[in-house]
Amino acid sequence: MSTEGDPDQELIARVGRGDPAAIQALVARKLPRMLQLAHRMLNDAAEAEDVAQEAFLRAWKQAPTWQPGAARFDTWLHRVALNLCYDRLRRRREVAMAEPPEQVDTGPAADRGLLARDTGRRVSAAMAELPDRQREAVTLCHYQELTNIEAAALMGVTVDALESLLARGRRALRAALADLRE
Amino acid sequence: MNLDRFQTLADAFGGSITRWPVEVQDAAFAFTAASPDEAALALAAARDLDEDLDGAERLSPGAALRQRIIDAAPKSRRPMRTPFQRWLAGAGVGAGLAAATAAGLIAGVNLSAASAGEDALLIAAAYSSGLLVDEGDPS
Repeated sequence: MSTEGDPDQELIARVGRGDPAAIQALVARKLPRMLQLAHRMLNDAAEAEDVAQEAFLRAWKQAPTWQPGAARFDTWLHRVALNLCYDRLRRRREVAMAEPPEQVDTGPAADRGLLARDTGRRVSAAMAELPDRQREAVTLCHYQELTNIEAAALMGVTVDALESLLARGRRALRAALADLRE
Repeated sequence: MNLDRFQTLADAFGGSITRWPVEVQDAAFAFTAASPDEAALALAAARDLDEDLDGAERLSPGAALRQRIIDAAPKSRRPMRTPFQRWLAGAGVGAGLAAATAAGLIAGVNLSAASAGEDALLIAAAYSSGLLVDEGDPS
């Protein structure tokens, strides 16, 4: 992935020198994005905060020796946060296999009208039900507004494979949320 | 571009052609001009989902989280001010010597004085510690 014109390059250099204004600026610029990324992937506010904080701790370690050229800083930070999310998703699966949870039906039945009206929670729940890779594709392209090329590179897939993941993910979301439009 | 391809792109990238891959946008706009009804139908369904997705819960970073992250950031490294201080640092004694000077050798003197004053203090400390030797001293 090209790093030409990395908009964060100068800021990272200043962060590496401990410039307080640059640190504030980088946090203002990236923290909402990292928090949203982790929240979409994990559907858990506390875990999302932990992931965002850990991603920044790694960025602080990296900043003094950051070498422009390997990747854009934003792409690198996304990769770090996604890896942290996948670590947590893996751990969840291990726990779930050891202790199967009670089955909770979050579908749009008539007696769950209150839930059906709560679009935000319904969307979050539907996103959480997607397979991880489809959720990652939708998160990167819709919420993080990465281009298809950036998202595909980040996920290590071709743009065609990304398109397929996106289409399947969005079709599943549309089916899960169909009653919102009735 | 045919309807199938247009529909697939709408399914994948949503109801706004400007958010589709750059390389297909011209063809998509051309299809929209040629088949406005079919295109509008495909885009409307995709746009509905976009709106639903935009309605998802959003987390805003709290002040406490922001502060924890900022507190863990790299701290500013105070630059050396004079060549003599840099030489002392190269000799591996700069920081320790400055601390020793502050602590005991020249009590009551403010080390944050102008750089010429700092050099004088560090020189005095260097003599005291044996790092520098006055060759004119008969002892």
